[in-house]
Amino acid sequence: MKELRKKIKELFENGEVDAVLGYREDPATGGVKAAVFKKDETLDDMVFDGRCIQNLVNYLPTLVARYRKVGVVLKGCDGRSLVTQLVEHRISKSQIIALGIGCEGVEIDGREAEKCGDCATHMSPVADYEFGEKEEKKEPTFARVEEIEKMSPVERWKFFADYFAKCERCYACRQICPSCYCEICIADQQEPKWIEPSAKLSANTMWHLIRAYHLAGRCADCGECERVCPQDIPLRLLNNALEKAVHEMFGVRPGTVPEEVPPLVVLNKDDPDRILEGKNE
Amino acid sequence: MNKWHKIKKTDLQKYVSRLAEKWEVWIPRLVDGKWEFGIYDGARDLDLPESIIDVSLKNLFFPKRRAIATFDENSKWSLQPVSPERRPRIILGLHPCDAAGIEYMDKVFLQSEYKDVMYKNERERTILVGMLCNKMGDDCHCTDRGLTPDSTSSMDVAFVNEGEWYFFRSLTDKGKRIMESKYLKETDEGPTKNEWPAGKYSIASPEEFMEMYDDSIWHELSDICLTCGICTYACPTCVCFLVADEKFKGKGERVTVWDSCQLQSYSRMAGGQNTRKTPASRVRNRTLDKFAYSHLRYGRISCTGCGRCIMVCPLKRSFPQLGARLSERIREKEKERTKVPAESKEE
Repeated sequence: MKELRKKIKELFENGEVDAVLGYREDPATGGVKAAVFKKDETLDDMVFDGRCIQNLVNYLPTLVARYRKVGVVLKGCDGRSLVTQLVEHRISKSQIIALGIGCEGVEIDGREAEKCGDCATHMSPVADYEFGEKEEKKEPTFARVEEIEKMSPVERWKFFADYFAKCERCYACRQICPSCYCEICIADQQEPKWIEPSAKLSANTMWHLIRAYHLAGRCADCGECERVCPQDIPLRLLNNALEKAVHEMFGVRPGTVPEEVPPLVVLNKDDPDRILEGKNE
Repeated sequence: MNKWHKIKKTDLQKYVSRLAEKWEVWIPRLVDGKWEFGIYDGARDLDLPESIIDVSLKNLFFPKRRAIATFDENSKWSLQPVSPERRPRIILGLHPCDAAGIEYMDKVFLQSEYKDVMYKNERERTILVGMLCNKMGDDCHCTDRGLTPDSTSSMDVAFVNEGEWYFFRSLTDKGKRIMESKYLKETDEGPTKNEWPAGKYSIASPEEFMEMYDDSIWHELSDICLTCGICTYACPTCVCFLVADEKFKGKGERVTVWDSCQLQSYSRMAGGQNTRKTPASRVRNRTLDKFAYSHLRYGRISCTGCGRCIMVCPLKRSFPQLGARLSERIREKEKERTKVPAESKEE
């Protein structure tokens, strides 16, 4: 933390950044909040610890529009998110100084977040400066997805339907997702109206499945959609299932390799074609 | 003023069961760790929370999804209005801020230019039996919004939880209809009065808020807001809705669905123009609607101080805190304006 503060101070003094996006102690709630630090502002209340679960990458496009150059504090998973934004050309790397922090896991309500259990990326894949320990990479397990895959289709449908029925359509999942940035979201389109606006099972299911498919090969598994959901719908599970499929078919885990183009936007002659080969279940 | 009636706490369940024979009785229930209203079926012991109920009453009067008409494209293309539910009902155990929310909805749906017939029907079939709060919750701030935990406005019957007793009092003719019971005994006693502390979110006047419209502070206030819609859904006085036709194989319903000014789609118009594209403009709309526009239109600010927006916010952001911060800025500005420049002072 000391080193991080020192580095940020230095970056400000050298004019290398105009603002730094990080976490600030919030005495009102006893938690931390995303905050933009500017030159000449105190860094004393800047923190990084287990409470810093929020993925800050989603704020970057707005910030780079307002400031010339922005520094950003990144955990491993947030770094993956940043990579996805860079390869989709949503943000230009020239405007970002990435401050990677070796993450030892973050918590929700005092308990280690589920995503940290099978985390394989403790350090941001893209970092101009690295702080703290850098652990070895390991392969993801997808244990939770495999559990769901063992269920019969009927059981699986019931499992998800019970959750989808509770969705309030507040769109917090969409709003916090760095990769959900369509100019007009499919849920908001009027002609044709793909998804009915009312919060009922059929329309909610449509919404969550479409969103998951749109994130296939793009979602970097930051898990924010699941965390912010007021109804605790296990949204990460949907994304994980597609992440697993993409990993099996293309050997790619989105966001882990800088400058790797998302597998679903390029065509390689070696790509598997399970549907044409009749191998799909 | 009608007299107090007292009932032994142990008799309340019997009294409610008796009421449930004639009325549809709604009571607060604990579902998945959250308090919400549900129909009383006698299956569980009656348990009334002493302060804030997590889910507001809005859904009972103005449902999230409400069919207002049906149609069938295959036969004659005509809209048939949905016939309203007529069974009389009692809502028991709501709190003063809930009643204040209904009072505000009355102003919007009944006392303005356009009358909402379905809302009117829900109102007419309902007797509101309010329970005054024994304590204020962590996020409660009704005392900053012109209410107190023992306000009885808009209730038909009010009751107080004290020691071994509940003290009931009817406040309207509608309320008198449920006071005839062997369990309720007229008494000259009354519940003790409480003193309530001011909350932590006092705010400026609506006129002062209006002057902040063009201030640059809105960017600061909206900086980390996701602009999702959950605070508006949880709010007892956010009543915006959209109208949609939902159909399957030619048959369908015309429905009203809760909408939220925090979502980008809310202000998108035909042709694709959007008047509130930035989060700052959307946060401004909601803030001013709660603290200023509502006052101009209906004579009362629409925030009831229930604190549900704090409870549901995914980022644990505090909307009332935002109003308080804004008020602070108003005072700062006022100070700057009234400050006499040092030089002119000497002259």
